[in-house]
Parts: sequence; C-alpha cells; structure tokens
Amino acid sequence: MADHPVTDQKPLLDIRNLFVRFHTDAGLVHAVNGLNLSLRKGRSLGFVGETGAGKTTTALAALQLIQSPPGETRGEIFFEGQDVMKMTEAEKRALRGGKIAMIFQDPMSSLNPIMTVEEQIMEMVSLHSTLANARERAREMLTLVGIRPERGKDYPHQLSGGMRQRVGIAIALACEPSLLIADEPTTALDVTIQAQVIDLIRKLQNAVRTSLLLITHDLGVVAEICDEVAIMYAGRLVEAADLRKLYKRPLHPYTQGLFDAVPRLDTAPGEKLAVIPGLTPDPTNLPKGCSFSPRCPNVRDVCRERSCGMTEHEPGHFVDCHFPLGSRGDEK
Amino acid sequence: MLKYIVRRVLLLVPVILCVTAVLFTILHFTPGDPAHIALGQEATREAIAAFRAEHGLDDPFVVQLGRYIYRAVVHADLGYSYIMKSPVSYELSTRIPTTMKLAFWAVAFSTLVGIPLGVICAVRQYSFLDSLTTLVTLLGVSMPTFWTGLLLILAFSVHLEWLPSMGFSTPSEMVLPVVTLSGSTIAIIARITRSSMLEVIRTDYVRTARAKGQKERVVILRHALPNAMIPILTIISMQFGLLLGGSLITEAIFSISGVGRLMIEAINMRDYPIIQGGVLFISVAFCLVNLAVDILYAFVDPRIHVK
Repeated sequence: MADHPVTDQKPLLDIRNLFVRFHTDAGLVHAVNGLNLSLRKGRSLGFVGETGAGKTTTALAALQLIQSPPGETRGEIFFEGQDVMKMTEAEKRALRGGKIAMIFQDPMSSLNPIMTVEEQIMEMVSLHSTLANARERAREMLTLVGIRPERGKDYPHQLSGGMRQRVGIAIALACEPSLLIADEPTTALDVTIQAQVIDLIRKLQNAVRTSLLLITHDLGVVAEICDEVAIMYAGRLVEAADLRKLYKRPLHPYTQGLFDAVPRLDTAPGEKLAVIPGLTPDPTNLPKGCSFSPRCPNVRDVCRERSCGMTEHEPGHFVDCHFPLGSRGDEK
Repeated sequence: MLKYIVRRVLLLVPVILCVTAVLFTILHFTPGDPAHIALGQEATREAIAAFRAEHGLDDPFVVQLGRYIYRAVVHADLGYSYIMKSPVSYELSTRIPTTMKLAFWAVAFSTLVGIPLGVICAVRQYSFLDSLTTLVTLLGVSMPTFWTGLLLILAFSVHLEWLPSMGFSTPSEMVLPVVTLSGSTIAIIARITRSSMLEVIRTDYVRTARAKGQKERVVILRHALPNAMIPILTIISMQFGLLLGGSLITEAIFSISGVGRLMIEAINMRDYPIIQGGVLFISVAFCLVNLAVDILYAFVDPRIHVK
C-alpha cells in the first residue's frame, strides 16, 4: 500500500516496508516481512489475521516497543510525517501514550497487580498532560468507561475481567491520543462483555476523535466499527480495501477462506464449518514465493516462484495475488 | 491487619511450646548425667545424690518438662549452666546483642549490594557485567566462610594492616566479619533478584508501563522491582534467620563472643542447659523473622489477602 490511493489527507500512520525479525534459539523468526500499511486521521482500520500473523508485532513496532535484542526492526514508520525509528528516546516516550496509545489483549495480565487502578491511570495523565489534578482526570476516565470512580482505589485483582479491560481503555484514552491501537481487546472476555467493550471503544473513538487500529481475528467486530480492512498473512498484507468493497468482494483466496470459516445463521445444523486447510507457515522457514501458496486452493506454478506484490485491482482495493478471485486470472 | 498480626503472634505460642518440649525431651534422654558433668568425675555418691535432689533431677520426666516450661514462661528462666555457674538467660542475654548486630549488618549490607546487582544483571542480561556477576556470585556461594574469612584477615589485617582481625565493638572491627558473612548472602540475594526480575520484566504490565511512555528507569524501579520483591524478601528473611542463630564459623574466626561461639563452647563441654536455651532462642528468632516477613508480604502485594 505504499502507493495508497490519492487523498488530500496525509496519512496519520504510514508504515513502509517494515521488517521485524527475532533472533531466537529456534532460529531467525520472520515476524513481519515487508509490510506496508497506512491509516488516515479519524479513520478506523481493522487489522485482521490469524494468531502469529504479526499483527501485534506490527503494533509494537509502531510504538518502538520491540526489545532489541532479540528483536530487530527495519523499514520506515511515519507518524504525523515523522519517522519514529529515527526519534530520540525522549521523543519516543512522548509518542507512547501521548500520541499513540495501546489497549492490550489480556486484561488479566496487562495491569500492574500491585498498583491501584487509579494510580495506573494517573501515571499516564501525569506523563503526558499538564493537568494539575491527575486524580480527578483518572476518576473522570473511570466514569467515562462506566466504572464508579470510588472503585479507583481497588487493585486489579478486585475487578472483573471486563472492568479491567475498561481500565485498560481508560488508561489508553486518558491523554486523548491521535491513534488508538486496540490489540484484540475482546478476545479474553466473554461474549456479552465483548459487545459492551466494542460499543465503548466505538463511542469513545467518536467522542475523542481518535483514529483506531483494531487488531482482531473477528471479521464481525471489524464490520461493526471499521472503515477499512487490512488482511495480514505471515507477516505481510495480502489484501486491503474499504470495508464495503472487501466484504462485498474478497479478492484474495485467504480472505475468502476467512469469510467461509465464519459460522452463519443459515448454515444447516450439523454441517461442518469450512476451514482453510493446512497451518500458518513456520515463521523461521517461510515458503518461497507467495507465502499462502502451500494452502491456496488456486495455486499455480508461478505462485511458488514469486509473490505478486500489492496491486490495485480496482480503485482502492489492493490485493497481493497473481490470480485474484473472480478475475480473468482464473481462466488462465 | 492488626487482627491478622495478633492471630499470627498467638499462633507462635503453640509452635514455640512444641519446640521447647521436643528440645527438652531430646536432651533429657541424651546419655550423660548432668550431676557428673557439673561436679566432675571424682564427686562422691552423696554429693551427686544431693545435687540431683537440689535440681529436681530425680523427678519424673513430665514433671521436669512442666517445671522447665513454667519457669521459662513465667520467670524467663531457662535453667542454670552447671559449668559456667550462671543462669542460661544471663549467658544468652550477654551474647544476643552482638549476634543480632552482626546478623543485622551482614543482611543490610548484602541487601544493599545484592538487590542492585541483581537488578542490573537482569536489565543487562548477557552483558559482560552480567556474566562477571554470575561468575563472582558462583564463587561467593561456593567459598566457605572460614576460607573467605581467613583470606580477608590475611589481606587486610596481616599484610595491609588496615583492619583489626578480632572483636566486634568498633566500626573498624565490624568490617571484616560483616564482609565475610555477607559474601554468600550477597551472592544468593543477587541471584534470586536477577531471576525474579527477569521473570517480571517480560510480563505484560511492564510492557503496558513502557507503552505509557514511562522512563525505563521508572519502569524497572516502580513497576518491575516491587513485583519481583516476594521471592527476594523470602530469601533475605531466611538468611537473616540463619544468621540470628549465630554464625558459628565467623564468630570463631574473628573471636566474637556471640551466640554461635557460646553454642560451640556449650557443645564441647556438654553444657546441656546452654544448648537448650540457645536452640530455643534460635527457633524463636526464626519464628519472629518469618512472622515479620509474612506481614511484609501483605504490604508489598495487595493480592496476599489478610483474613
């Protein structure tokens, strides 16, 4: 998506040719491989892929939180036109939390167990704002996410999972960041709480006018709150488009596979769910050519030789496939 | 909180009574007649009989045990050393302050050196400093105290003549024993700090703290270290408890008259009342240190619920 559709709006976040590798005992793990991604101000992007596709790693790279060693980050990550990779430590700290805030996947483990939740929100406030009364702001944020402010004196273990995730949201939004990264914010929660948390994120995103990068593997959630979708597979994007375009007409066989795997109301009882055969490739040993080729139903020789690269198949709809679905390529 | 502390203190009572009873029983059935030991081998039969009668040694075992516990609890009287010709409680009370001073300074010094060392090693894992510390702490754990103590005396007392090799009253006299005793304790504390910190540094909440834009130093000191404290506290308290029992070897090397040396002398001379009193003191000290640490846990970690 380096050649993103022409808009008069500059992208807020623009990731170009990002590579992240980890040196581990099992070998070199290629977590992100030449990823291009951009997100405009005020928009929300659903970042979809299987576990291990490199979604979280990409988000952590944007925050420059990949610990090195063992991690190694290459490429360019522009935020508001500035390359975060070239920032000083102090600039990076101002970016984290102040400009880009992140909600983590597991609310059980991502709060400090021995600090009250109020203190944990206050820490964020005192780091990035000039507000004199951090405690008042913390209580305000708790109220905003639907927790009684007097619960602020509680420790994380005294709150339920859903409440802890709300605290995570309160921390992330306390300083009104320009970009909110939500990393599978509902995965660890039960279904009824999931809906509440999603509603809350959407409501607050509108209230604070922040952009949203929603990392998930739930296409339903994406449909509910995102404007754009990017599908990630084995460390790079395979398809990216406007929500409507992509849901109406998926072009990549992997995207199609994801849609087929979603259970539908009209499925006959007892009928098996469609699955994508095979496993995600071993990140220490990625296949040659298109990394989806070993699992692809439409694979041809050329796919095993080289990947296609992102191309604009129709205006605003990008796909990395030699033979996008429903195109002339099928008859070749 | 107060209720918890009171309950824990009350729980100590049966523990200490049991320890006392077991100790008394073991020593009671150890071969050797206290009267013979006190009066010497040439004592007449009459003298021995008189001694036994005077000290109630002819009473049934249960009566003797009851009397011992009664006196210990009501009069703080732990018996009479037939060899030193003085009350056990008096002998102990002259030695305990020295031992406590030695134990306190050794633990304080080890903690002040060990924790920062462990933290630095965890933060800079696999760095040169980390490898060096691992090597040195391995040495620290492996070197017996009598060996380090003698080396230190050789270096600083004999050759350099900087520090005295005996006694424990002035600060300069305290340096060598404290350092000797700290050697292995520093190593143990540094290693447990390192491994506990390494575990905590990888947790999600430390990542959350970084994602807030917090300074790395604050992330380590405010978020990671307090969460890593529980195992460190445990080790420190165990070391303190051990050292309170008297550091037999260090006290012997530096001619410090503490509980440790008292115990060695008592064992050599079969001075059972002193041994009994000494062991009782050590167990009580251990219990109290454990209690203190349990209370500290609750302060360090709010998840440890005080019921």
